[in-house]
Amino acid sequence: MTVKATKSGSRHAKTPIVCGADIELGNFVRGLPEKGTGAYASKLLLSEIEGYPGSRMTFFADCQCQSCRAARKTKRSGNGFPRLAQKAQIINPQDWGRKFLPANGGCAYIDMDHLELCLPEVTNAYDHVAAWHAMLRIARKAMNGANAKLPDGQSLELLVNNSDGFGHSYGSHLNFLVTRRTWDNLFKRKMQYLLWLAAFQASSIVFTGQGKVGSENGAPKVDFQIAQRADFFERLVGTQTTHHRPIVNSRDEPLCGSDVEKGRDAPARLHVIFFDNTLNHTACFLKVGVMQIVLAMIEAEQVNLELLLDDPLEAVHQWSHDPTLQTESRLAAGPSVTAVELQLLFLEEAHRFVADGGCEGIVPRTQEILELWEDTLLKLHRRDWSALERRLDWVLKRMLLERVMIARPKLNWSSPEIKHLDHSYASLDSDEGLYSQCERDNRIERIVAEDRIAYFESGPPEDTRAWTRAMLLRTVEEEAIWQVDWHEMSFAYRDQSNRQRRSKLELSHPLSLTREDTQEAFAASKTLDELLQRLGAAQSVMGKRRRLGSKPKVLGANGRINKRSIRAVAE
Amino acid sequence: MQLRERLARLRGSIAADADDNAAQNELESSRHEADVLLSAADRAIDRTLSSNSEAFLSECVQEGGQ
Repeated sequence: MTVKATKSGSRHAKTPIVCGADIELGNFVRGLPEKGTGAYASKLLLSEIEGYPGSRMTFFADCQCQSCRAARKTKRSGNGFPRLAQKAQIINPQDWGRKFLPANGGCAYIDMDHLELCLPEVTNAYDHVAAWHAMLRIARKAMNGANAKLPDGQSLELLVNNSDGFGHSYGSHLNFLVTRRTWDNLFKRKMQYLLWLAAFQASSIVFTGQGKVGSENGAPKVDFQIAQRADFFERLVGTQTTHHRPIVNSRDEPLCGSDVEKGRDAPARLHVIFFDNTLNHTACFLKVGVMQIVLAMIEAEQVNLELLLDDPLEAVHQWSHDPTLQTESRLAAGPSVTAVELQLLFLEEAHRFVADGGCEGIVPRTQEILELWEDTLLKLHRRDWSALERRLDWVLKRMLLERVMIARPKLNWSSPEIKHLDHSYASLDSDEGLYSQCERDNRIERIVAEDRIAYFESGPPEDTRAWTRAMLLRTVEEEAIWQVDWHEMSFAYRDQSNRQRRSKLELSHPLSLTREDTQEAFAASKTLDELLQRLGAAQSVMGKRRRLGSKPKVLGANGRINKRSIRAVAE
Repeated sequence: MQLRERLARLRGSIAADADDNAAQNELESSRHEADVLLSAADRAIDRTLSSNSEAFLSECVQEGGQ
């Protein structure tokens, strides 16, 4: 049975499925007497990344608002930040030291002792691949910078994987912009849609898995499995991310403004915790591109309930443990299928949906995604490993490790050396990382050109709010930036009349305040006050007017903007 | 088309395709290809294997994470 879209498909607003990501990396320091060095390693890394604190937690000397009054009661520490701020940072282990990056509008912080990289919002899978590899280069530079400062005998390791091999997993989360209607359908109204999404995700490991030696979390012993994360999924659905992880995460945190429109077409965020960290361009591209198509089908309510799995959790565990791709799992409708067969059935549905125009205006370059998806699935069916190792991480990793064991018969899947190589595959060390070496050997099928990756090392996406966020971080004096978040930025400064002002700029919709929307404002404005007015920020005057030239007691920002940055914006 | 029919058609087309490609797509054949091509990766593997893997594994434990 297919749940058809209403005749007037246009009744529902079509929402481009913007993608973001928050991705933890493995990090530790070698050469120390103590174990469990993640906290130290992640702080070393974050200190090497240039960015602005998400919240300055500062205050005005004469402002009577509640937060300023509370902040004034705390003594300021040597570095200029109130102790209140430092305390607030220390007590949140899942969001410590967040910095927004003027380079590309993304951010970095520490989440439970792991460096976490957040990609700027992008509209298409190509830009996701480029932004992801650009952020990895930023992380690699941080690693090199930190290592240069460590004493002899110590080294910082940074791994793009999802598990330490000792039962601890860290996430590679994707975020997709959907409508509130779709979010509600998935989690509150139409649970069959959630099961359909779970069936898609479970079978998608055949192209989204990084591959892993061994099993964890009480799973049956296995030499090599397809997905790093599979053993850690214990629930079908749930809000939790650190224990009893669900295939489909129901965290409802839109990051689209506090006063976001409440209607069913309002923006919502689907927080996807299922996938592995991938490095191969094709794997990264399909992970996002195919999800965009699948979510567009859910938006349009084109969901074929024949594709539901009887037990998605059992399926993902069993499929991941069989890299020969022969294991079948039962559909709720009766027949049993392999993961690749189920993906081919999803592909057929997607072909029809796209042919009917279902992805127009929602998923850029849909045809290219479909073609690569189809070609990859057919190669998986043929076990065409030599072609697939250029595209899929789990295949490349398996090929490399099997080759090592053929050349060195004393080694087997249980050897520490093989598990070490499993980790080394994803190392960001340019000399040690096996993926990096394969890229250097030109053994990787590149989807995204080098210049696009280089662009995202120092440039934001132009077609989302990330552009304006990055430009404001580059343009505005640091002292005037009060708070930065995905959906808003606040400023505290003195205007030309030397009055204290606070302004809040809403970045509510990820597709708002793009380069096209705001570049003229940046080019034409001479002061921060003027710029924020042009951008539509809400402003308020705080406290009394000061005599021009007098030095503000607490906040030194004079509302200047960096003209050089503005010229760069206008170019 | 019913699901069982779709599956039968899918499996039929794949079986024919697989017969055509079986010989060339065995894992062994791609291993030979890898022998020729894996220069930089080989060197990285050698470096890793000449280090102390047990020490590495004891140091990489990272409690916590989403």
